[in-house]
Formats: sequence, structure tokens, C-alpha cells
Amino acid sequence: MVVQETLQTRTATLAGKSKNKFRNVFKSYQSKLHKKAVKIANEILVEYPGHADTLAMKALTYNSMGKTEESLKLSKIAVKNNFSSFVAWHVLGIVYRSQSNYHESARCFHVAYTLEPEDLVIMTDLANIQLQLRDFNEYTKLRNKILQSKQSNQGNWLTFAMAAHLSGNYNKAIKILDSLENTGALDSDKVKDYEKSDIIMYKHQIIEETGDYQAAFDGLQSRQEEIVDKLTLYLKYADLHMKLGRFDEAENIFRSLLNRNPENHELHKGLLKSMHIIEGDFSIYNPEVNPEVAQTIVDMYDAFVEKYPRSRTCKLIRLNFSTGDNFKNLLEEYLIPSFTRAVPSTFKSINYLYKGAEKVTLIEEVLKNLEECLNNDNKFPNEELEEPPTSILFLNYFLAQHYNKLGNELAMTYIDKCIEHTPTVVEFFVTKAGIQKALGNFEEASDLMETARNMDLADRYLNAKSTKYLLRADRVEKAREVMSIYTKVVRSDAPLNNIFEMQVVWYEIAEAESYLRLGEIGKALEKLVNVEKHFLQYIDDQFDFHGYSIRKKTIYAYYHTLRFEDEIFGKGEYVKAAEHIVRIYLNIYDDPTIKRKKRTKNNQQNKPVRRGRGNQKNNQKEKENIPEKLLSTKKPLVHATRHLERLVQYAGEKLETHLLAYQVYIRRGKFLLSLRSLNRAAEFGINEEIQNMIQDFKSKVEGELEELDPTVAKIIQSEIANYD
Amino acid sequence: MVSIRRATVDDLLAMQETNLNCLPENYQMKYYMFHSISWSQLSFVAQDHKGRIVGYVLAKMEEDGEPHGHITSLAVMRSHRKLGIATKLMLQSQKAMKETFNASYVSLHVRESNRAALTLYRDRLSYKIEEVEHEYYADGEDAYAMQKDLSEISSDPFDVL
Repeated sequence: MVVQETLQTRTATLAGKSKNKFRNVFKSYQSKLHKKAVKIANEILVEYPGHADTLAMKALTYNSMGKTEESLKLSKIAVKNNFSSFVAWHVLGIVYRSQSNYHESARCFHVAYTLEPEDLVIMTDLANIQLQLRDFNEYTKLRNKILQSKQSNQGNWLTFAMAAHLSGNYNKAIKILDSLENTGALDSDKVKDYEKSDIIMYKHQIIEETGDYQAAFDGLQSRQEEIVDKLTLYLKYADLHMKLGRFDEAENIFRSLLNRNPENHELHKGLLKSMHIIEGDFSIYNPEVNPEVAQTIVDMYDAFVEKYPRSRTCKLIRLNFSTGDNFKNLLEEYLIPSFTRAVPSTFKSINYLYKGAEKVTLIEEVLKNLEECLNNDNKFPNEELEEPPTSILFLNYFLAQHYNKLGNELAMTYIDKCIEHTPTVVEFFVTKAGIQKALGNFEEASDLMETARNMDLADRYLNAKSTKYLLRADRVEKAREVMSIYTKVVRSDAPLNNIFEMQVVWYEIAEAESYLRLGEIGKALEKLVNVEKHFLQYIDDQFDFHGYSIRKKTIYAYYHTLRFEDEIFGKGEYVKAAEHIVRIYLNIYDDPTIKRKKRTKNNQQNKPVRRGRGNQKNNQKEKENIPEKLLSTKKPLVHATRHLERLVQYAGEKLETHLLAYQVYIRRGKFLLSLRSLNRAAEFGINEEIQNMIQDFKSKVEGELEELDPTVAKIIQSEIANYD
Repeated sequence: MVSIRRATVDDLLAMQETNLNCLPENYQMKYYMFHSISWSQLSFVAQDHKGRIVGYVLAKMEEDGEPHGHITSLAVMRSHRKLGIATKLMLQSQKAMKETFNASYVSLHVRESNRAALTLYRDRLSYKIEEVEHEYYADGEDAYAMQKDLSEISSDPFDVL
């Protein structure tokens, strides 16, 4: 007899055999015996059709099996069948979470928590989601409760402290960490010294953030022996000394740390600042200081060069601040051994020197002198021995790069000399390609880079460079072919999968830019939206570390990671992609027929791809649909705004951001936001483009002034009058 | 002029791009984050005057058996080779392994055919070949598993490396 599904069967509390079966479902699920778990679940469902908790377990299992659609469907049914089942709500939350739907997940976990307020697993799951969503207030409350229920777990103390810290409650966070230490838990053998060290560093990070630098310093110093990350500790000391105005102490630390790493520019900058040789926002790459300062630095670095003979940085800082004949002598001293030893990267190591006509003249005088000496008797100045043939070759190579930097056509002359002399040096072709690219000859540049690549197929650097140059020359198909050599082939018909999986953002943007030049807007957009997907993935990635970092007690590093994640849309190449995306969506809004434009070039370049029989047509259709789909969006401005808001938040220092913002907001009829964008753009200087925007704004807002709230209208009128 | 300093979490995206432009062995961002969170002291970057990452070393600790350091990945852009960058990155990482984690030795893998890398590890940094791991790399090439003893690295934080 078939059992009918009723409210009873859905909400029954299992007993006896069925209860055991349910336990087995859970055990099988935990042991990753998915098929077994589903089988047993189905057995329970025969007796208890629609049993919510069982359906939930089945859904959870499906989720682990990657059956995302089924698992979501089933877990929703489970909840529907028994609104009071914390298991059903918990599972639905887990399923949403694994689909990165954090808001829905939070909602479900919250209901589960309300139904079962003492379940640690539910609490932890909810807490992690709250942290992911940066809901600090709720997170702190929950972390407190979790700590109360299990004080023996050190991780609970750490997360509670961090929750308080993130909520801006510094003193509370410090107290919590003090309490943890007072329990003596950190002195146990189980806690490794680098774990304890990390916690101490973290605590003092918080103290520092309260602004009490003295307390931070004193605290660290008193625990010095327990801190194993000495580099961070001493950098922190130096930083705190500077903040406290204790410049002599800071100087001593910088000098000591230079022993360990004389190549760290931050140490040099710190040292010069601590000695008040330089002030404010200073760059050691910028030699524009007054002559006394320059001389002081040169004298100081004479000593450093002697002390750290293997340090390139010390020599180059000294070189940067030298002038006149001294500069020339030092440059010559630096260049001669590089040419003798045939080092191709010499130019790259000193191209920062090219600042100002005076310096460039001096550099050229040095080069010309060396060239003359070699041409005369094949010796460098003050050298006894004759030079090997590579010396003039690499001097010429340097000259080619020198003239290229100056936009002088002699660059081509010199590089051709090099290639004629020794056509087997890859770098010559790479540089010649660069020279052609600088001249705007992208096809020739690409051909040359291909030549370079073929000279050393084992070097991915050349592969990437050539791919980049191919895309710049709009040879998209060939670029893909070259790129595919190094991308792992996951499926034989889709070598480009790997570009997405390995998050090769530079390629996606470069390919998109090529498509934009070719007028293939949809294809460009397809690549660009992938960039957003990667960044959303990076945000997702942090999730597993909420638990991991606490288990590993690397809270100091974890805290910095959270801060990094908060600003991630301002990092890497997202801004570049977003700017393109916003522009494209603006174009789509202005001209919805854009999708219907015939794509002729596309068909020419498609190569027939090997696929399984019968699949060819479908996959072709699928591939073509994404660009079309993106172009046919009914909400281009919604998409544009999503990206734009991130630009405004994270790339507000760029003029482009505000120009784009204006275009989006004016189309959306958001006058105040348009005006704000206009004002921000105008801060960069009022040129013709801004003038046009002002006129555009005036004409658009004119007719609307009566419709607006009178206060708003007044603001707009007075602001816009500023531009008259 | 290239600066060599410890990698921060802000460098991860650029390190990933440098890795993609230098080596066939690549990783997703999450793996970089894993290194950055677990062993933030061990990875270093080389940065040019425009702020671009031209080289990096990505390193970790292995807990199986005796705690030892491991070089996950090391690369320097071709445009910046022969400037001693790789050596300097390695020296900084090795020092940190000993100092923070008390690593007794450090291990790494290198392609049999990679002469430049062998010169760096064996000759300049005194690594020894422990064994050959057949078909270690995805393309089937064999790897030398190399190790270097870290006992001679002093505990003085200001020692010249």
C-alpha cells in the first residue's frame, strides 16, 4: 500500500528504524558516499512521503554532487513542507551559499537559528555569512554568543575579538584578546610560537589603530621575544618611531634592516625621511631635490655602496642623485661591466633615470663616448683589455632602447645593426617589435614578436608577449592559437576554457579591446563580463578562509585579507574592464539596434572546430548567443550603473570615472548625481569636453526644473551658475 | 631600479599575472590567498619603478614530517633577467622560513632541462638534488627534487644575507 503524503508525513519526528536510517543518510553524506545517502533517503521517503528533513538531506547530498538545480529545488520543497524544520532551513541556506547567494543564505540561516538557537553549526554558518556580508553588528553579537557556548575553542575568542575590531570597537577587541591570554590557553604546547606571535601582532595592530602609538610600541617591545616574525616587528618599530617623532631610533632600525635587505626601497625611503633629508611625499626615483640634498644623498650612498657591494639599489640611488661629471662617471662605471657581460636587461634597470633634458643629455654623452672608444680601439675608457665582440653589440642594443625611449628614429638603425651582427638574440627582435609598436606599426610589430617567440618556444614570456602583440594587431584567431599552446586543454574542443579557469584577466581585456576596434561589441562585452565574474570569484574565495584562518590562528594576515577584499574592485584590472563595460552599455542604450548590425568579419575568421557528431550546430549557436544576449539587454543602464558605482567608489581619483558617471546619470535623469559628477570632473580642469557637458546638463535640466523638488532645483541652479 | 620586498595581499593579483606571463604552471587566486593567509612572511616580490611586479617568489611551509619550507613558484620576467633578482628573492624567503617557522630545510622542484634554474639553485644557492621525480610536470617532463639545509642561516634578524 502506497503511503499518502500528508502534513503528518512531512513533519513527522522519526523513530525506530527510520530514525536509524536518517542517521545513516547523514553518515553516508559526511563520508561522501552520495549515492548511498540518496538511496537510504528514498527508503525513508517511501514511509514518510515529503518528509522535510529527509528531503533536505537529499538536497544537501545533491548539492555536494554538483546537482545545483535539483538541490535548490528540493531544498525549497523541504522548507515548504515544514516551515518549522531548522534542518530544512539550514540546508536551504547551505545550498544558497554554495551558489554564492549570500543574502538568501543569510536569511535562511537566520530562520534556522531562530528555530534552534543553541546549535553551534548553525551559528557558525550564520556568523560566516554575516562576515562575508560585512554585517558587523550582528556578526559581533553572534560571535559573542558562540564564544559563551564554547570558551575552550581559542578560535572563538579570536573571531569575537576580530568582530569587535571590525565593528570599530577597538578597546573591546583588545580586552577580549587580553582575556584570552589570561586564560593561559596560548601558553599551551599545542599553540605554536608563530601562532602566538601572530595573535600578539594582531592585538598591537588594533592598539595602533586606536592611535595610541606609544602603547602599541611598548606592548610590542615587552613581548619582543615572543614575536617570531622579526622583519614585520622591526618594520613596525620603525613605523611607530616615525609616528612618535623618534627619528633617531627609526634611523637605527632602517640601517639595521638594510643589512638584511639593501634592495628594499621602502627602507631607503624610510631612512632618508628619518634623517630629514627628504620630506613628505617623496620618491627615490625622482631626482628633483635641491643640490645640497642631492649631494648629501650621494655622499651617504658612497658609503652604502662600499658597505653593500652586491646591492644594485645602493648604486642606482647614488646614480639617481648624482649630477654632472660625477653622474657620467658613475653611469659609465655601471654600464661597462653590463656590456662586457652581455646583459640584455641593462636598459630596463636604469630607464628610471630618463627624467629631464639635462639628464638625458648626460646619458647620451656617456653612450656616445663609449661608442667612440669602442669604435677607435675596441676598449672601454680606462680599460686595459680589448673588449669581446659582445660589448659593442650590447652597447648598440642599449642605444636602440635609448633612442626608442626618446622617440628617435635612430632606434631602428641601431636595432637593425644588432640584428645584422647577431640575429640569434631573441631580445633584439623583442625590442624591434617594441619599436614598431611605438611607431604605431602594429602588424610589423606583431610579425617581429612572432619571430622572437619562435626562437624560444619554451619561454612563456615570449608566448604572452606575442599573444599581446597579435591582439594589438587585431589578429584575434592567431592570438588564440598562440595562447592555447600554454593553456591546458580541458576539453579538446575548448582550449580557451583555461583562460577563464586560470583567470587570465589581461588576455580577456586585450581580446575585448581588439574586438572593440573591430566593431564586434558583443564579443568584446562577452570577454569583459568575464572579468567581473573573476572579481566576484575573488570575493567568494575569502569565504572558506573565515573558518580556516581561525583554525590556523593566522588572524593578522587574515585581517589584512578582509581589508583587501573590501577594496578589491579598485585593484588589478577591474577598473580598466569596467570603463569599457560602462561605455559599451551607454552605446547600447543610445542605439539598441547595435545588436542587429551584421557581423561580417566574425564569420570569416571562424575555423571549423572538431566536435562530437551532432553537437556542432548546437555549440555554434550557443557560442554566438552570448554576445547577442548581452547586446539585447533591456537594462543597459542598470548594468552600467553597477560597474559605475564601483568606479566611483574605488577609482574616484580618475577623471574618466566622473566623465562616465555623468553620462550614465544624465541618461537616468539623476540630476543631482549628474551634477556631482560634473563638479568632480571639473576639478581636473575645465576643457572643451567639460564645457560641452555643462551645456548638455543645462539643456537637459532646463525643462525639468519645475518637476523637481524646489530645494533640489535651487541647489542645481546655484551650482550650475558657478560655471558661468 | 627594482625593489625587493615582502609580498602583501595587495600584490597577489599582480603576482598571478606575472606567473601567467612567465610559467606554464599557474594557480587560481584562491591558492595565492591561501599562501598569503597561511604564511604571509615567506613570499616576496620584485617591483619596478612604475610599480609593476617583475618577479616574485611564492613560498610555503610543509607540515608533513619535519617542518620545512617549500618554494611553490619563482619567476622573473625575461625583460629583467641577469640582474640577480631571483637570487635575492630566494635569500629573503629562506631567511624568513628559518626565522618565523624554524624550518630546518627548504625544498623545491625544477625542470631537468631548466639550465638557468639549476645554476641558480645548485651553484648559487647550494641546493642539492635529492631525487628525480618522473613526469612531475603536466607536460610529462621530469623534475629534480632539490633541498637546501637552512641550519647555517643565523638567527640574527639583521644579518647580511
